[in-house]
Amino acid sequence: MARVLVVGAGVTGYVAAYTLAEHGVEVTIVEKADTFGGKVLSYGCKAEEECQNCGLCLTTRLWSNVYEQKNIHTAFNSTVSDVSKKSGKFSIKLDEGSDALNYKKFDFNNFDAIIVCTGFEPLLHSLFAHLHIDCTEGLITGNQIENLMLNRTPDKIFENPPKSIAFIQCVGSRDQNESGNYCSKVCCAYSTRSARVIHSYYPECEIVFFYMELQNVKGGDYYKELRELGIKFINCRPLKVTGGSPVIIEYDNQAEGILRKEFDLAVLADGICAGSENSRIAGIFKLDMDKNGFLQAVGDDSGIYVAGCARAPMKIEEAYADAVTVAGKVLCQINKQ
Amino acid sequence: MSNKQAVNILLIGENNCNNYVCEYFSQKGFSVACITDVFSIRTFSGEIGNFTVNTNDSELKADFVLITEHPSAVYEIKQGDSSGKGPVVFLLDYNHESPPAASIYALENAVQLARKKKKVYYLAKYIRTAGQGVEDLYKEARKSGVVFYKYSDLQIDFCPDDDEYTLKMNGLFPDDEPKLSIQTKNIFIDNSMDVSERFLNIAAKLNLNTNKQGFLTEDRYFLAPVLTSRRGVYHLTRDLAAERLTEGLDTILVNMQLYMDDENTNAIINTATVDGNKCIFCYNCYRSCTHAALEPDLKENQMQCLSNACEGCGICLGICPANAITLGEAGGQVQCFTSSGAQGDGSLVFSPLSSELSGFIPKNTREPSPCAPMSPSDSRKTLMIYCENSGGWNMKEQNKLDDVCVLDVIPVPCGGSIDVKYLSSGLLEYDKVLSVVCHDDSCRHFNGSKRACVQTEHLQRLLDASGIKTKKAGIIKASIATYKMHYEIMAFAEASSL
Repeated sequence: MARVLVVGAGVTGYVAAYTLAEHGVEVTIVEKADTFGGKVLSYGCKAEEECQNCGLCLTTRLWSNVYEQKNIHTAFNSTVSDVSKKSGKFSIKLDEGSDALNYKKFDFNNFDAIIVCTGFEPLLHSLFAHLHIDCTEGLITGNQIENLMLNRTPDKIFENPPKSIAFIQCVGSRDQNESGNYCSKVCCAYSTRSARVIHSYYPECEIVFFYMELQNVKGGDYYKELRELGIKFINCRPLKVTGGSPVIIEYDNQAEGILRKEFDLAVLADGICAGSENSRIAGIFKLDMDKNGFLQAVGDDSGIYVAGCARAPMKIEEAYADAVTVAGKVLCQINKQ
Repeated sequence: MSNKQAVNILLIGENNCNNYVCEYFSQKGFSVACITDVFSIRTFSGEIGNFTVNTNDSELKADFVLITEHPSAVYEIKQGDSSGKGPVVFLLDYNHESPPAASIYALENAVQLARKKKKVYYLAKYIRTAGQGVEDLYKEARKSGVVFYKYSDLQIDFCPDDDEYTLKMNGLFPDDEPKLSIQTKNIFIDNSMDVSERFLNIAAKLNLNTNKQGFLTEDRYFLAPVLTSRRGVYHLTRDLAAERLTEGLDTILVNMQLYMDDENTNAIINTATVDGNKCIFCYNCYRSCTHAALEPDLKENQMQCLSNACEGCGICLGICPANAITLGEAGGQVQCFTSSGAQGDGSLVFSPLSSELSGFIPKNTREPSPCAPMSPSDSRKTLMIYCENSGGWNMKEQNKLDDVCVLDVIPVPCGGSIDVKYLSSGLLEYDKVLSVVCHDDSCRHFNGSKRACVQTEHLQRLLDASGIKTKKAGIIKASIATYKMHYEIMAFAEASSL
């Protein structure tokens, strides 16, 4: 029976593992946290009347499906310290203190392939520097707005609903001076969907987007519809954001010079960054890193693959599809042997 | 004279890649045949492992079908004269992201022209985000000087005397000032998201689910662009750009292998069975099945369910006026490379209204609430029927309903199996009846959740006409990824229906 190691028990890792297991492959998953799920467990569905196509519902049954799959064994609180190859098969060693070392049922030798699905990290605080943030009161990140969406009840989102909210897009990215010189793809989507939900709960709340570019979220007149709901879009990057009560945003809208606007709350819509451990992971698994720190497989037949946000910013359904595609590549590799 | 042939894989469609695809599968030991004259297809029937195609002059049997026909004229970007006066404009005027192949075609040509020192504009309403082999092309295009512009409103005027186009467009939002104006003779334009007649013919003959524009759809198609609504029928070119052909074929092969593996007994889980004694051959189930699993058996004068095609959603079960359909577990694999066939063992997952009307679900499949038993006919109990793909499922699984005495729950494989006859007989035993289903666009069987809504509204009208409070019947649409409907469920269950 073919054996594959999957590193990471988030969406990507689990989907890859499940796809492989369905084809009769024995899969071992190694996860550093004490449970599965990764980032998506803290994200919230943003459908009110209509589905918003965020892909989150793809994940809900995944956890129990994998749990019930006999061919998959997951080791939590465990990390890989070394990978070696002999006669075409991989063996791995775990870090001291890894929980899996306490269990005899795990066999960390003789893997035909390895798939690295270690995911991403949200923006590093150092990248906030260009916004000159002095005080962080009244500022929340993308992850926090997702949490609010997840925990909302039919009546309320916030304990103390703000009367005005600013969404600051493209935070820390799309800037040649910083390492975030790429589009994270997900922020336009989660921000506008959250704004829509907030508007339906609190129609009087003033919502303003500060944007550089707006990506395609849904076809047709998506942004026009948001405008018609009363959400404002200002095409510039704020010069300065000062936390406090209220939050003060200073920006230059070119026509009128530097303006100043006050908000009860500002959302720093941060994107997807390479994981902080990526260089260590690249060393262990002999992977390349692109200039933004994302992991890349080396060559086509090394037997070690990378999938999901570990290799590039992706939406949930893209990570899902990537996992399926990479699992398919592994199956093709196995079948050729 | 009829020509009969049996192959493993049948290609349908006219495409330059047909030879490549044939080679790919032949090398792996499959036999392949091809139909390029798509209008010659008369009938198409059967299931994975056993499809039958009748054309004007032959009958073909195949285990799998692969559609290689392009959906539309999308790839024929009409060519202007790029040697004329003015800049070269590539106008991808789609209401959504352009198909990858169209973007790639436009970008490659834009880069070539820009390198020849022509001024090139790339105009699009929604510039396709990088991915699917396009990242490097964007970089090259920018390096070579192509100008990208996103517009929302576009006006094109053509002057026949000069043979020249004038394009005026504003920025991202409609009321922004007109921002860009271009005059040129050279325009490469595509906006034709119209599906070609050939493709529509294939979709119709093969009984495949399509969206409003006519493109093939599948549950979450973006995850698996090679799949269609019919198991064993694949579509190669839907969203895949040319250089990803091999990857697409690999994906198809991997999917096929699921059904060819002797040891994989999980490939097909549930299947419907039609009781010939009850079937009145009304074709309702045939019309409602989005997976083309029901076919008329003209010899026996009944509908039959093709167990290898069935997805076990139960929509047919709900819609059958004669209660002739049951849903059960299937074991076994598709019969193509293997000798075993599907075996149903008839154990019931969900059964329809019994003729005794003594309870519309046999009591051993219904889950009563764990706390002090309340007799169902006691004043305020609610029956909740929930789709297993909807938010109702995680309510149950997360044990959020454990302490709830006023609620009994029943799972169904799809909201589409909910019919007014079950809801109304539920009201014989319960004070209120509540359905919890997926949102309209997220139903895995395409129109199941909409059907549940229609059935609930129908019941509410019947109640109203009978002078009964319509709030005895309710429906909640909830995604499996959310939990907030917990409050709505409880609010419904605890509300008085008087």
